[in-house]
Amino acid sequence: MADMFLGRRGLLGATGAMLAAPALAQAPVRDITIQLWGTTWTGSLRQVGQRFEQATGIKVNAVTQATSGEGLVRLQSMRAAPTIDVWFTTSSVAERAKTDSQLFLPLPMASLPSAAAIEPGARASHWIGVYFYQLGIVWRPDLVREPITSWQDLWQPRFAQKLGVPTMNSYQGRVLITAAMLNGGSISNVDPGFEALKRLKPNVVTWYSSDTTARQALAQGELSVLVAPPAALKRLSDAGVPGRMISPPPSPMMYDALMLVNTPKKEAAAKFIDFCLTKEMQDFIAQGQGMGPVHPQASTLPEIAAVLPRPQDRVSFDDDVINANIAAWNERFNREVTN
Amino acid sequence: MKRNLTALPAMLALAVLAGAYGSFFATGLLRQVPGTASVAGPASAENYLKFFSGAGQLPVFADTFIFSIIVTLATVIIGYPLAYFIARTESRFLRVAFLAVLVATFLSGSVTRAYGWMVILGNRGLLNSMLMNMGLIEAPLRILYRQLGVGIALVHFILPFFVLTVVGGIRNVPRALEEASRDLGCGPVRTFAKVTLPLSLPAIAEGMALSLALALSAFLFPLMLGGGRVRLVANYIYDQIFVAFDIPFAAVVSAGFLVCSCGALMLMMALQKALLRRFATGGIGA
Repeated sequence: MADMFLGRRGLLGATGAMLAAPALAQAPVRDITIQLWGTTWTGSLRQVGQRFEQATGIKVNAVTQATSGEGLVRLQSMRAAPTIDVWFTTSSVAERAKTDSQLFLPLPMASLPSAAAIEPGARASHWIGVYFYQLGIVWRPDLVREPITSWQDLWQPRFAQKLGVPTMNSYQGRVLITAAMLNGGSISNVDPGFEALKRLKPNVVTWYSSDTTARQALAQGELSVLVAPPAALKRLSDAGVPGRMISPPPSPMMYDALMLVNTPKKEAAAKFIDFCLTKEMQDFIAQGQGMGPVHPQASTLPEIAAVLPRPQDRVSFDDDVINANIAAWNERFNREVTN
Repeated sequence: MKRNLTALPAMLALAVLAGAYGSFFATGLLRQVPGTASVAGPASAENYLKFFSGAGQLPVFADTFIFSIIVTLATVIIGYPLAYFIARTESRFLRVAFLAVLVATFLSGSVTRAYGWMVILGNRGLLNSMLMNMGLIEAPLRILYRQLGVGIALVHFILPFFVLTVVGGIRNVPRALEEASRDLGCGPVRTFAKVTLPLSLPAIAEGMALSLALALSAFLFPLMLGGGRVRLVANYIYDQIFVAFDIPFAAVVSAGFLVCSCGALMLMMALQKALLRRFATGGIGA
């Protein structure tokens, strides 16, 4: 009967289309794109991508971002049809980003079997930590004679014009909150933190917003001491320069995390996220980056493991409070501290 | 009609540029959804009121203009003799060599250059090591991570733009005029002051306007070499977008800065006209 309406050619075409339709719907995804920092890509994720391709046949392309803030704005500018499937960001920025429900998907935990094993603090509705790190003090023993034992040491006159300290933008204000805590304040009372950072000014060579540049400056001897995560220590040992690190209390802990972008490739993207959480890749990523693994059985480099803070010294801050205040803190920091 | 048609491509390009700023203006009417990076209506003048109340950005605007004017003047002082030499040297080899060095600076990216300046100007950099080895200084000079270091990198960046603009202007001054001046008894200095310099003033003004525009829009060198202490308007706008995620306010600051920059350039052009009237006929020191 059908040929009465369609004609023979039409019928053949329609039948062909019907046969082809399921094949089209399940057309294999050949590649996915991840947006991340250049150092994370070269440090380990490029090789993780290659192994993922060997395992699944799906190629992993990279788009780099200077900061995760920049990455978020770029993603929002392509909201209607994102060309990025997985986004690497900090947990703070992830908490802000997840409110954009058109752009970011809740993590499909059923499709992430490896996620069940990782530490609970690294799991949230929309992001999953891939490694953790603390903000500590990294220094060059060839340039600093007496070892550093506490945060308070940084205020000593012997460190005049020796320090590199993150701006508010780097590590989302954690330097300020830590300085506040050392002086009787807290995340909800950062005034003592601002006062302390003002007193720190004579010792600071650079307030840095680029990890790469700051680590380079430490390796060159432009700075002797850097307030930074353990990756800075690894950067020194990679450059063959002696380095030491201490993680004094309070030791602010952070995660760098993956988010799933709302694209047609979300299943392949989820597969990649899961791949990053397997023990083998966790070993590889933590060691490549010089950070701590989120998989309890995975291990990082011995020199990095040696400087991870004691559990009782670790502190985590409420990202919602940070996100609500970071703009005002940044303004005040630029007005009162860096000037 | 034909004339209108030839103007069409230029007008189209201008329309796109103006459209971009139009969208900045419109975005400024929206608001950031608190705690997110999203933007939403309804339209209000809130951001414009915040801008005109000026607490945050006024010192940044003032710093940017003062810094840019200093950088522009330094560029003129270094760049004019260079341009003069290139335009007037009898040696083709030297002219080509100087031009090649200038053009070569265009070929290296800004990030590479910033890292290069770190190596040269750093505490343990080439310059400080040299001065210390010569016994001229005891402790290294702190040049990097403050305005001086950013200024040096910026002058180096702007210099080729200025020199290449001014070389043409000087070459357009007929040598016959300079020769006539000498024939009439003026020495080289007077000839330069009364003939060459006044006649190259329009080119200097053009070069200065270009230099000022480049300095005003500087972003990368303050970010990489400023040690967090040198914050120009472009860096302020960047912070509004990528730290505060307040895109509407960033749009307002951009539009406001465009108006201020245009005002500054128009002021320069007025000054140029006044200078030309004063000096083009009588020369400097007349």
